Amino acid sequence: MTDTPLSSDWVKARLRDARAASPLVPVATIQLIEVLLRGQFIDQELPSRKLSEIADSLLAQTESLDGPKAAP
Amino acid sequence: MRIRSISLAWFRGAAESLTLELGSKSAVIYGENGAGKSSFVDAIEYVLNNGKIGHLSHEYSGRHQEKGVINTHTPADVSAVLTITLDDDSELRAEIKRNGTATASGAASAAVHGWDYRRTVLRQDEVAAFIRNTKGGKYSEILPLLGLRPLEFAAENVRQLAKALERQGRVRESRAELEMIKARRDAAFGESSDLDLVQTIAGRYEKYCGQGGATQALTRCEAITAAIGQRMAHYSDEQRRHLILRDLAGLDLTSSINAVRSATAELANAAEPLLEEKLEVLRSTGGFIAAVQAGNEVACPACGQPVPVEEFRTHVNNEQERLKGMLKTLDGRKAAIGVLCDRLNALKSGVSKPELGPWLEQGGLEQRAKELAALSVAQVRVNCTEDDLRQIETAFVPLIVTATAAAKDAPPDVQDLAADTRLIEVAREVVASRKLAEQLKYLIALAAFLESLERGVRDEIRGRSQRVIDELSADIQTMWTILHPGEEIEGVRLYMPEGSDKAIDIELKFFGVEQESPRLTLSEGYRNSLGLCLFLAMAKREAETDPPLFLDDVVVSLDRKHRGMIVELLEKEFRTRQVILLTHDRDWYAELRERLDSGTWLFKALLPYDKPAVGIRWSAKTSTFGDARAFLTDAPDAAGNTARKIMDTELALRAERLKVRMPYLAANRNDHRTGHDFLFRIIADGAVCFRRKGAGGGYEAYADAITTFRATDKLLVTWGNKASHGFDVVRPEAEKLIAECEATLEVFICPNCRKPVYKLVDASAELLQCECGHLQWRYGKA
Repeated sequence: MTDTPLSSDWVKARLRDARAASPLVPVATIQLIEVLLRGQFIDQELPSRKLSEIADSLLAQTESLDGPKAAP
Repeated sequence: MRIRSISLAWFRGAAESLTLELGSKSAVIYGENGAGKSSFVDAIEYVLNNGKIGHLSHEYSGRHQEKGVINTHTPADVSAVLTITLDDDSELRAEIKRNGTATASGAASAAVHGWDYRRTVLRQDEVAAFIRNTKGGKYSEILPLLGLRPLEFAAENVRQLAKALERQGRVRESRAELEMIKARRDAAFGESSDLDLVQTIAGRYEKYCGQGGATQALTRCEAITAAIGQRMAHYSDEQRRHLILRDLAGLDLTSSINAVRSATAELANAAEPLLEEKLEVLRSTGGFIAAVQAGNEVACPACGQPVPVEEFRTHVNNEQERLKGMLKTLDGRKAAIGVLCDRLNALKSGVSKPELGPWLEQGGLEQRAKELAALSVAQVRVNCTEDDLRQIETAFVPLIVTATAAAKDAPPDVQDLAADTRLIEVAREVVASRKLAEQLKYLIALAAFLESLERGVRDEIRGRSQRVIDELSADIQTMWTILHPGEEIEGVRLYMPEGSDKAIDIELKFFGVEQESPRLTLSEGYRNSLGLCLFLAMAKREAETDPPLFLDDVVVSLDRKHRGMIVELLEKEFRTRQVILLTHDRDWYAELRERLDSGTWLFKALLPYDKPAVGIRWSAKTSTFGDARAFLTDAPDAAGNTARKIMDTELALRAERLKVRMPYLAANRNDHRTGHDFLFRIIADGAVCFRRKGAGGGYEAYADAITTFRATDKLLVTWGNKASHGFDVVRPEAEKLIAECEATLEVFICPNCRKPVYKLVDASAELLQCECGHLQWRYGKA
């Protein structure tokens, strides 16, 4: 049996649920996580170096914001 | 995908050349213990498990298992070779050198390596392995079938990303820093609100900077600090000295030292038992696994304490909270060291100012000032030891004590300025920390977001797992019902225990009572039967890659009745799959030969193993009438001889099944009976024992059968023996002999249901019949 890929609707629904619990999270962050969930995150367990890079880019998003912007 | 053939050369028990020709059919392979039948299964395992065979994993088998994989009598400089040919003519060829290193090649590699060994091969000693496995082990085994690998990856990546964010965003450090700032604010401003703080800043701004100008609190703080600085510039040396001494007096080194010591002590108290417990984890791992399997108490892998399985989860949670508490203490210690170092820097800065020179000299404090100048605060920040604390306490705290005493003599305006300076410093720190607090708030929100996302993914995993497990359970239940019709063990199903994330177990109803594990009540035979159902249910889901199934002696512990049911199971559930059954059970082999469709099944037997140099050999007694007919044109005598050999074997099997009493013969003649010997007794017994249903519904002697047997027996004695010994049988004679032999074997097949007379009918085991009961053979009625 082959592994089932995650559908776009499924990913969006999960992000919507998670965002409802944490409305402070910026749109850009959610968009990045969505891309990851449909690509790199489902291919393999990522090495810590790669996860550090992603964490850095998420942190950079917070620094570039003039105060975090809530998702709509 | 089907296997056309498996060829072995010097692999395991095989000598120079051995081929299992399947022609893409399913097969039953019979061989006594040690005949070498499992060598074919070993070949499959060797290929699927990257050159490893589980039962050869042993320190004596060699680095590449070469001492077990290669025939002990392989000629020098010859490699072992195994070749698997698929029905599309593609081939996988593995050549194994004497040192065990192997090279594999061929177009079939990709297809064959797509087969999961655990879904392809079931061996005798593995039948109940799934049942014996832990709940977590069962989950791991089923996981590939769930198709949830991407979700598992996603959940783990989200979890690790949250950890990386916490680490790189310095969440813990920021929390500790904000707590320290809050403590300083409380000390300076008490319970005042943010508005009070802003008003305080506004008041000091008006005092030092006048009306108008800056409106932001932070800007105002900076303006106030600058204004105070300007005012101080006009102070006399005496005033500046008092001001500095007031600053030094405010440095509470002692409380900082105490905070560091307190956190260090707390850590030391917690760290020592923790280390011991972690070491215990390593020692108790083996016992932990054994205890879980036994269902007793388990030793917690985090701390080693014995706990009941049910409480294990709670216990682990508590352990996690304890470790989190320790981390918080660790952060607190780091923050306390940070404050201590900040105060030391302030002390160094103050003491080094020239205005304090006379004061130091007057108080005999120059030596302490020199020691302070030599102190590496950066080093203390990285590694603050008790020696450092002691030095700070004995050498530098007296400086502050002396400064505090001297500061009391400061003029009121200096005291006022010093107090304002300190107040504005704290106010500025509080205002500036708002950005840090905002960032921390965001990071905490992000962590909550990721946690919620991970939870969502794990909920999905659980939901999808449940669906697949329900489907598997339905298949298991169907198969179990086929093997155990009408028995009081029912409701066999897999389930995910409540509150467990990655665990699966098996439950069933035993005489109406729910049982959480088959190990509680099932006998070994039933457990193996259930293990077979579990394997087949899981294998059934591999429809996409369609690998063949190898069942190696898996019915050893099943009784005759339940072994018989396996045919129905295979016919109902695996009609389209290639199945290779290997057995050392001659009765079962005979039964399978009778019952399985010869159009889709092959039957092959191995000779007893002789010696490694000769290797595994096929028995010649497994020819078919098709083989016999192939000789008709060129060698009619060989055709007749082949037919006779077939009858020797087939009639022996039927006589055994029908419990036909054969006279005892001296020495090894019992093992060399001919078809005529068996047929002679079958005819004698059959006149009374063999019956068929008559037109009125009652049973009558099966006279036609006896007539057919007699005709065949006559030909076997005449033309059969001529073919074997005289070699002068002509084609028409051989043709007629083959037809008669086929007709005789056909007599044992019911003309109505097309099933052989094999089925044990009553408990007293006196009666065999076909599926529909049209034909019967009553034991002991001769």
